[in-house]
Amino acid sequence: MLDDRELVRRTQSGDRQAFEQLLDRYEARIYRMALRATGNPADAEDVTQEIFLGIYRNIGAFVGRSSFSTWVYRVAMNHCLEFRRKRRLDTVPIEDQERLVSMRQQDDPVICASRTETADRVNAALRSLSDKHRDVVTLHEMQGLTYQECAEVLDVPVGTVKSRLFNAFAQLRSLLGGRGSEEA
Amino acid sequence: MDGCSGVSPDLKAYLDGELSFLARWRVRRHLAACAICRSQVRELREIGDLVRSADNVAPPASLRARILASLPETPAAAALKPSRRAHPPRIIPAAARRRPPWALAGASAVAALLALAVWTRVPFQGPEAALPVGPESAATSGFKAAPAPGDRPPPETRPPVSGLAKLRAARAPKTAERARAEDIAPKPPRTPRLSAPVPQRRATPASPPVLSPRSGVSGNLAYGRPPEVLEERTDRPATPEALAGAGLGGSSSAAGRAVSPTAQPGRPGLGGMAAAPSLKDAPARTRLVVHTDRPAQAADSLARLAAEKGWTVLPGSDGGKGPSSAAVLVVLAVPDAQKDLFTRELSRVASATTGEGAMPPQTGRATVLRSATGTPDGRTEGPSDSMERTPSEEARKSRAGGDAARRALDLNSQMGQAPGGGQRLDRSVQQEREAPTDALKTAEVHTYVVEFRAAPPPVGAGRRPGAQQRPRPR
Repeated sequence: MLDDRELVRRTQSGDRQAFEQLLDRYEARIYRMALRATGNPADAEDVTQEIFLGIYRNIGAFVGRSSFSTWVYRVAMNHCLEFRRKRRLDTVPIEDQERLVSMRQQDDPVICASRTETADRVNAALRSLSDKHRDVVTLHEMQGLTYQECAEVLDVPVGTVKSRLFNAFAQLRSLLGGRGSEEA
Repeated sequence: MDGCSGVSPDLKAYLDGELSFLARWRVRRHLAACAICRSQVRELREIGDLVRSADNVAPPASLRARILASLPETPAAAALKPSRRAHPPRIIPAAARRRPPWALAGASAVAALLALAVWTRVPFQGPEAALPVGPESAATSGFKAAPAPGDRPPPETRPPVSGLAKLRAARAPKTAERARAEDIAPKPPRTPRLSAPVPQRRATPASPPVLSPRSGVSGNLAYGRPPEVLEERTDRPATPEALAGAGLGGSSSAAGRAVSPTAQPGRPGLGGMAAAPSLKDAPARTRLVVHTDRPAQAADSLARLAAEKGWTVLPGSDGGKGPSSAAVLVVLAVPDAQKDLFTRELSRVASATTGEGAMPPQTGRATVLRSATGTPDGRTEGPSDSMERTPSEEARKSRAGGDAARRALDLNSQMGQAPGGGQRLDRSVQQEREAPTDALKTAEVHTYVVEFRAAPPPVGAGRRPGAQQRPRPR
């Protein structure tokens, strides 16, 4: 299996199949990130499409000074920020938002209901965070980026990432109350 | 538990493995002893699990095909027609982010201005003037006390001693060691420097520029220069000859030459008078230079005002009858309780004798600045003590950059008419009631040597000498 750099090199040389592999690797992550940023599946799809289009167009500018994943998240964050500038999250009707939880068909309905309720609470808590705090939670907790990678994507110092995460979790802790331990 | 507040911000980073070795060791040691923080770590982990579990949504299957359909044939072709919405990232570490050149230039300019402001705020002091003048100063500051006199450098190797420094040293509470030192040496004892060295500056011979030349009382803190106006204690009447002998003021200026015909060029500044041991019980004296358009009229007004207020006009005053219209001297003995009143009245006199007529006090600007002054009992007080500043004055002073504001305190504020000045005015009135005019006999008396000078042309105006000045537009 080829690593990201090799796929990038092949894409830069015109190999479309290599880019499709990159798309397969990052599509779900970028879509979830866009969904967190937009709060709307339709907008998330549009933003995801624009992100990958931007990656494809500008992949020639990637010179490998950072990891490809960091570069991709940086492109994605720029698009998400642009989307926020155009339309704020709070203008999205709550009923249009899709529950950000998937239920497998074979799951027990009771368990599914409990999981859905928990997911609703978590999503509501995440929506109540500020954009800065939500972004760092998304990148670190959901996308698995390190503090350093988050700092590069968000263009802030590592200490800022650390403090934002601390504050975000302090808010989540107060918002979720004691239910976190019960649901987990 | 103790230390929780210091460790708590690191708990999340500890959980994520983002702490350094020492920080991790510190948190781990704390967690071993703190059940509260352990439960907090548990909660943080559970919240993280919840957040991650809520993010398991999958993209729709059609999205991949949609993305691929929107792609151009080749990335190179796309690069030739870059989209305006594309955002090629520039990933540069925040610490190594390059700042624009103007930012560096701006920072340098700000630093230079700050340095200049600090430099100009330092009153004129000799190297020893920055030292605590008494042993209690060293005791209260926590530094070691002055070394024995034998540890001090010989007098001939010392740098020149400024008059103000001598004054401060002379007004400090006298100790046995100091009295002994005064007996054996003409110069007051010195203590080692405990603060940063202050560059010694001497009074420049040129007449200082005047910020508000049409009406102003300039003092020794103005313009960031060495203090032209210094104060000394003397048991002699402040005659022009005495002033000349002391080298008061800018000796080479026109006014200085007018009042110091017998100046001794070899005498360094004010040192001679303050060092005389027999002068220690004399009243304090402050010399003020007042720039006005009509010095003789101003002196006459001040003399009449002194008669009204009960202040004593001492010998040595020209009393408005001096032959020179460029500089007129008035020597007054004012009770300490009426210092503020005197300052306000002096500013009023300066304003009234400037310009076409009496300048409205609301718009006139006069600067009354003084160096640290002393009283016969050895108490030292600075400008902030003798001229109480209101909060608005302090704010304006800080906004204007310190020295500039020191040079130009509003006459309104000094006369207690500005917002916040009423309290001071009331207080001065109360002081007047408490200190009647016969306080000269019982209370402390401060001697003011007021020199009214013709207003020089403004700085950098490029005007011819004697050219008519226009009122400053407001």
